[in-house]
Amino acid sequence: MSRALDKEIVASLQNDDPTSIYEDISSALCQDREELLEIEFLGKSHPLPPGTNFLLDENSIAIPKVKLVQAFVVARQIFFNLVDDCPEDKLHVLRNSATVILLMDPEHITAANSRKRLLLRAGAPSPEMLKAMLRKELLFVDSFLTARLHRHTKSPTLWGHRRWILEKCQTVGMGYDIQQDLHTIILVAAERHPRNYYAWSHLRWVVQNLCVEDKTKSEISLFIKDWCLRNPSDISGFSFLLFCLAPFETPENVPRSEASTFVCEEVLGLAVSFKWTYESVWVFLRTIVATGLVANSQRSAFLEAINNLLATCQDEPKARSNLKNAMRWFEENQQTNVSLRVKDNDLASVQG
Amino acid sequence: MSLVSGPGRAGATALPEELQLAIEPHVKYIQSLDSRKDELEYWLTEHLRLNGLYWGLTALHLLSRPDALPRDETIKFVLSCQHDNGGFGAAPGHDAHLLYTCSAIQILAMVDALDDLDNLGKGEGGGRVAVGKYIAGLQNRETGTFAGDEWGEEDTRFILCALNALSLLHLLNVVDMNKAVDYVVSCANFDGGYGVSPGAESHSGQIYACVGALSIAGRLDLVNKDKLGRWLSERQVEAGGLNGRPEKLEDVCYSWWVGSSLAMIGRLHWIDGPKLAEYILKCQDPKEGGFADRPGDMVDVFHTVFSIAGLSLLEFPGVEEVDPCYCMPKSVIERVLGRNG
Repeated sequence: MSRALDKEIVASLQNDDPTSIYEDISSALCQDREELLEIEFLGKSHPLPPGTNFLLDENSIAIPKVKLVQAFVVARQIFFNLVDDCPEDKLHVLRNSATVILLMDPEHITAANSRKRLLLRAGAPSPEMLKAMLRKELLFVDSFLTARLHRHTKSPTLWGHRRWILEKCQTVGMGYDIQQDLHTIILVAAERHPRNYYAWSHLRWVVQNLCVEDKTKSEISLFIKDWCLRNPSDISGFSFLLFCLAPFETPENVPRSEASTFVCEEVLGLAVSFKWTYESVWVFLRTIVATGLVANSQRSAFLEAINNLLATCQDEPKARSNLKNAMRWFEENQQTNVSLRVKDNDLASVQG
Repeated sequence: MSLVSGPGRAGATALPEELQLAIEPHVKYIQSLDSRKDELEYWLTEHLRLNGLYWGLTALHLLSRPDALPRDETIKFVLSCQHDNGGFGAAPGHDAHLLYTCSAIQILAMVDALDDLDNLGKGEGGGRVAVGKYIAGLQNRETGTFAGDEWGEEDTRFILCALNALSLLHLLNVVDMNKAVDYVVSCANFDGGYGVSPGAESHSGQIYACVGALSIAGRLDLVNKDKLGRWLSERQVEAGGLNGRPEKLEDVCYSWWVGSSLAMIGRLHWIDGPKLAEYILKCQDPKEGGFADRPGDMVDVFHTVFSIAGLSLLEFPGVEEVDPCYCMPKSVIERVLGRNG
């Protein structure tokens, strides 16, 4: 979270010409592309030869933080000179300066908003032109959201900007491929920044608002279930899995309880096999078992698993507290929903 | 050399010197941020300047140094951030947003300058009315939640921003409180927590926003306090600090988001207070001032205010009482709202 600059960066900011650094970086960054740009920062342990402001290799760019800071100072000036009433021939200059600003700090809402205004301002371009502009804008924000940059991957401003673009895409009738989005953007951000709150809330929004069919929702749930099993310490993944299984949305609880039991059984099985004591796993299990939407057999399997695992982690206080908290929480919060309790032999056809 | 000042140091003297609250360095640190001593850092933080001013001013007030920043300049700066639509941006020329509008009102309330807003503020109807109109225009009248600005991003944080500012202006009537309350209630998760929207992952920051909103609305009765308290109490890690969600690293700012939420629901005693206080103090730089997210990291004003506010919740000697909903001195809230807390 700290934006404070360390003294060594500040000390090295002499002798360079910030304007040419800005020109250099912005033209490399803002080149027209058809694919995502992979962006990285270089720290002081990777100094570049004097006069070199970035490394570019096809679709990968690495920028020294020191240079970006200098480019930012120029970008900021250009931006605020142009942002109110920008002349037509300077629109791309404004956009490029906003790109550099957002690379320096993704929470700069004025820079992000200026890009929305630029898209709206484009007058009444042909539908094809507007779609092309939206695609470009999506490519821009997706490059930042999937970059190996700690703050950009989880930025609420950038995820919000993405949502706005997708809404615009919908209104002009552009198709939306959730599977592609999931695998190339959202889960990439989720993996590059574990427990990525805004990436996962973006996925919830997408699933709820972009006309995703039920069949696709089920496929996604299963995929996310497998993702969670590969990332067992990711509370956000498990939280999304709960969201998929949750009874909040529809009164049709019976199908959901079969799914809940199926998922619960698999997660519990692996937790026992691998002796997982991750807090995320046990928060998920205690919650899903307590909802009352899993078969009785799962409740007792859950309690038995905890007792068995407790016996194997005598010297691990955190592991023990995760397990004990899970048991206690379950006991305090369990729901018994008699009419919806799924009998074990009903499951045979589901798991077949 | 002991750097603790202020009355009632009884608890503090039991701590080793490095775990005492270094008040003067913190005051100097905050003052230095305002001095533009470091021009580069000033530009880098421009887009959250008004938040930064609120964070710094609140920290100073809680350290009993309310006059450590120049009042007239503060007021002038805040008003220079206002747009014609009544909303405030982070700095002059920056777009208006609820986040900065809330900080603007909190700052003016703290320095007792809401009258200046009435006399000199912009927007339709002027003064408080214009700000009220701006905020009211951001409520989703169907669902009750709030967008942060004209671009429509909805987030439970913005509900608290809206209600916080409106209550300080005595203008809660311009929004649909019932709908806002219903929306917050719809964000309650089975695990007891709250998220950014209905069905979202529980998160300490969002919990603070939701509980704070319900507190302002006088509807804390709608919170399952035991369930939420349980979830919040699990945020405390071995080292004593608090995290924001299961399995995340502790961060000193959660001393506030978690601590204040627990305080609002009357369950602050569900965490180990002394252990938390000790952790918070380990995050301070006792020489140069300021607090960092974790011991040894670089300090910043965001972590500084939430550390001091956290210490205040824990009734640490030398720190003034903070209001757990507003994150402002209790004395200011009493003055502005004309009642006790």
